[in-house]
Amino acid sequence: MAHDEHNPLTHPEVRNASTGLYVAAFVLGMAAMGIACLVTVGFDLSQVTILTWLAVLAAVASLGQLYLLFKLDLSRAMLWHTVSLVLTIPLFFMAIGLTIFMFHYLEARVMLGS
Amino acid sequence: MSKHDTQHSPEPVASGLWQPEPEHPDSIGLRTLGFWLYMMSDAMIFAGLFAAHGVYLRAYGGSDITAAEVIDPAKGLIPTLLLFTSVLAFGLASVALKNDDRSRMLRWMGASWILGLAFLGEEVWEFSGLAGEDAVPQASAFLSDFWTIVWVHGAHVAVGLIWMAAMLVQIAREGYTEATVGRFLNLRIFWFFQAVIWVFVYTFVYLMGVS
Repeated sequence: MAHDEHNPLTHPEVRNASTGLYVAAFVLGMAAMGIACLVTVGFDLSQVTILTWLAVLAAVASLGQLYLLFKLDLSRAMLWHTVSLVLTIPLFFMAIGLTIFMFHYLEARVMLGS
Repeated sequence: MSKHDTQHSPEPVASGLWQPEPEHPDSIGLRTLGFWLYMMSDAMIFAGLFAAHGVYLRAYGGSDITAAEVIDPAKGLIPTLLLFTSVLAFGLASVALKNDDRSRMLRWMGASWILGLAFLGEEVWEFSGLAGEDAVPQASAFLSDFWTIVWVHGAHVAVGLIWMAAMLVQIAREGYTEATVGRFLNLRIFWFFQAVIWVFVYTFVYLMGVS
């Protein structure tokens, strides 16, 4: 994180701004969302196939944006941002997946109309 | 007194995690890391909302209104385009900051603010239409979840717009100080994060709902 403290513009998180990366993040995000929309409404696919496509496209778009927008890497300036994100991602999906899993079996056993 | 109490080492602490440069602590880096960790906890709020969505989407409903009736995936691309373009404009403001071009930086940030406001306006228009069709949050579990997820994200965007307006004024008046640049970098994290969350909102709420 070494930089000239008297000039904040020399900070590595300022210096890592890049037109190319931001444009790439925009193109990647719009392309992935456009394809996801097309897959959902433009083709007669099974629900499992659509859900698989949506999951893959969401992963590509979100991981691509995380890297391109935040410039996450193992450099000294960004190491702990990257580590904290890598440790949060499993918690994010565990919270969603385990909740759906628990309510799926709860519904099958006790909910009205099951 | 012990020997330990009376002697002070003239040598600075060796480079390490806690204090890599004792004379020049990286206050900007510490602020952005702290705010980044806050955003990780914010992501867990959305995890809770997406989990509720996964449960509500198919299990419960007190209304005949289905997701396919209230969601138009193609129209959902409009707010997607507005938000992603706003994020791109903010990124270009970051590049202008890097190049020490304050007028260009303020113009790009102003463009980002206008596009963010257009995103919010589009959301208001879309949901006022739903309310007109009685697709209100009270109608079903799915609709309460749909309104909540979209508007929690919308509330983030509204807060970001207020923050961005304040940054526009501060940077125009004070220029690039350590304080304003640190706040700008935190706002950049916050604004970019809204685009990443929107990817999940659009794919799992808008598209999965109608698949």
